Amino acid sequence: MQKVKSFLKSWEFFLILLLVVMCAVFKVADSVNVASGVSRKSVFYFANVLRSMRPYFLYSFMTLGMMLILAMGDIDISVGAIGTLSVVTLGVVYNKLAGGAEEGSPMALVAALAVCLLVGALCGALNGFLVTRFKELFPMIITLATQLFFRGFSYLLIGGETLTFKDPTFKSLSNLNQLLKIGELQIPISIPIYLALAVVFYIWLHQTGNGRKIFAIGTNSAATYYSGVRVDRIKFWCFVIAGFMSAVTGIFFVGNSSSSVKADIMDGYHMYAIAAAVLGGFSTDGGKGSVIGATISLVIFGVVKFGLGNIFSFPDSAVNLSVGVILILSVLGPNLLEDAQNRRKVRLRRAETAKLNAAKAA
Amino acid sequence: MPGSEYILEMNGITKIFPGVKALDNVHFNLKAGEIHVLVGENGAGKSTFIKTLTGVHQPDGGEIILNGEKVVMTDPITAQERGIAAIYQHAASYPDLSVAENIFIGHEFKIGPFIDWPKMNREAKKLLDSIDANLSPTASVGSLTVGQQQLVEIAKALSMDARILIMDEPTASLSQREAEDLYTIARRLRDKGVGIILISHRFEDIFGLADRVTVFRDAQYIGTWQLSEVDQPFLVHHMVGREITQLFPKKQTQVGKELLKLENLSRTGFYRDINMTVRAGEIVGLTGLVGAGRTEVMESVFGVTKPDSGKIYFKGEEVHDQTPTQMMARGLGMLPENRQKEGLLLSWSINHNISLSVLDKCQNGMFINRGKEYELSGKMKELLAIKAPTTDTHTGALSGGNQQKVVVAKQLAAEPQVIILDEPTKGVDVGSKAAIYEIMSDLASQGLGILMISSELPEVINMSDRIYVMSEGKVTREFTDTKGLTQDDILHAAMPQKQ
Repeated sequence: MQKVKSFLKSWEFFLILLLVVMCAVFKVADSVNVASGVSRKSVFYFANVLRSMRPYFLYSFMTLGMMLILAMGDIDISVGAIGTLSVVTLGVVYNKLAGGAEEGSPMALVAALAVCLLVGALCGALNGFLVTRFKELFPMIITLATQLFFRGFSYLLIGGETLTFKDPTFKSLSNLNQLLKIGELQIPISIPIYLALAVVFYIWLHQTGNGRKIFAIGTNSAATYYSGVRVDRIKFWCFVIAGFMSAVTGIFFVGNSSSSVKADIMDGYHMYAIAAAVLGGFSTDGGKGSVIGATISLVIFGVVKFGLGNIFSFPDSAVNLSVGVILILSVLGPNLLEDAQNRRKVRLRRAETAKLNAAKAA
Repeated sequence: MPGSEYILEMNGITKIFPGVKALDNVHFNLKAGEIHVLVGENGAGKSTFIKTLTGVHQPDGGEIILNGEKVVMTDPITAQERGIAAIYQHAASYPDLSVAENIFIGHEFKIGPFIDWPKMNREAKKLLDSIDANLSPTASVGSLTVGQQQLVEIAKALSMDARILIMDEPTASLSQREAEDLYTIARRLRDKGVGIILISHRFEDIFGLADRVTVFRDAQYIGTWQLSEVDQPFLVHHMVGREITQLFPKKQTQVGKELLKLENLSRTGFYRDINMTVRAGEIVGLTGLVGAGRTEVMESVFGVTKPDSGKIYFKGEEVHDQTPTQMMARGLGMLPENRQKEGLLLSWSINHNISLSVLDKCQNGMFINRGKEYELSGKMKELLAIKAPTTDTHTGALSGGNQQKVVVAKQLAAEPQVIILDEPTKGVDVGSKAAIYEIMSDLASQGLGILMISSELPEVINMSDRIYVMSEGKVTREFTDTKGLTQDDILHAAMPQKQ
């Protein structure tokens, strides 16, 4: 009973509710569209939505990394640029090693992928080093600087060029964006991979001592330090992992963009990663949030974008705008609700005391 | 009403927060030109009471009569306009602004839309001079000592022509000397006809300064007395609601081998040539004025900062490159001075706070074993008699004394051999103080070495086996025998030497 009660009060429950309401609205709108002849056939059904989730789950890996950073009360706005730099190196290294062979070279691809992930981790390490070494600077400012640095580095490597890869070996990366057929359902491959990783992150953050320490740092890093926790070391490695996850995201992006690499391939994508984590209950104050919440948020963003784009035919810009509005409302909503509840309680009690006083006087 | 002799009367004040009655029909009155001290344990409702007077909280019942006129304090600005000013323990309002800016914030002297700097600095200087505060109006407040910051706050209150001045634990962060200065100023203001409401846990403040005393306990009004009619045991009895037979329960212990030794430890700008030892079963007091470098030395020992030179030996072994993690693993615990900032995660439960320093002990492999965790925290809660419904209670909801016990529990969970306590009873009520002293005594008798940094001389003298006194970054005196030691002996050693 207690458990059910606390679940009903939890942020995750609110998110599920939000998701259900959105689905209901989209379903109705979809039916209306069909009935009025605006669209030929229904688009909002499970299999179709699931299949269309692919682009929205591209940055999910970045969200996993961002959760660590936000749980510690920091922020990393360079993750998009890290992803870009990682895949740019991937392209450059592959070009060098494969030497333009028609068939491509699997060995070269493996090596290039390894370098790509390594670059991601190293970029994260640079962030981690700067954040732990220069505590007087805000992580926001540090990662703003490294973001510009990583971007500049990407341009330094390939300039305004687009590296395109036609060989079948490299093209195999786009397999990462294919659909997995299970019976009637077509599932984007990124989703099961994400879920597997999310389980790992869930256990790490919510079940292990190390995860507890990450949240402790976000709650009060000074007190955590005085408790004998190696705050800087944990911070450093979380930034490394965030960088690594950006590189992973980058690899999915390459497959998505018809096997071509540009020096701005993932610019701005850190915002989606942050948005999903924040809607999931994480905050830059640190110390809170859950992997489950962030996962539900990724689904919510996917559904909203799908629904607004395909059912309400919003242009892309309007879809982004709406996502922003949802984010603000859902993050502010609970605060406003609590305020209102408190005010009501105080009013009630005051009326009560006034009545008591009046009775006493009479 | 025969209320004409009072400038302030508060009758039957009741304040209810969701779930708690913070004030239950309490009374208070204040004459012009008196210092009226309000005492009670943490959580007795003193702060809430002050906040109903300053308009931060609206009372749910009762009346406030100011100069014979019934008033409603709708907000802090109204209270200010009616001549009520408050200064708090952590005084600095705007550490990055100058002294003059802090004094006149909200009512700056202006020429058109522009601030009249020369006039503001001049007026600030006048106010500061009137309380003998030798401060530059243009200095930034953050660069001042806490004591000087208090003076700025007082000047600020004077600038608003306050007739009622509330001082909330003004001496808690002050050294003896700074406290004396503050007493002088408070007396002078009283003689000018200002009514002062003082909140304090320190009996030196209460008996040295106040004219009348009002006691609150558990949100209730207990009584008001002339201080000349009462003594310390009487007040303690009414604050705590029971007799405290022995405030300083010091046990005789067997002093064992040397556990911690500092040799010529120096850190430029903070302390130099520090030689100290702590032995098993011993309580060592480390005192001196605030800013003498006591905390700084111990922070270096605990590994928070690095000393420039000198050696630290722990259990006979020289320690290099110390960090809190490493020192805790070796068996050193530290209770930081600022328990809310450095000691506790206030939004976390007692259970989670206690286990944080020893998570390795509560894990199966990588995974947290909640059973072990609860067992450990439950044991600690019982051992230290932490007053809370369960160990799932948030530490932010506890009283100061109980919070301090949780910080102690956190350190004890790691089973240290030496424990450094930095101002362990600061802002703690008298009942909890006695409890903390008892814990210290017990620990020492179990063979722990305890180093207690403290500015409160009675506790230093009564609890310590040995005392080090620091002044201006150096150890100026060591007292190996505390029998018959007086506060003056210690103060003499703590004063900066005149060139």
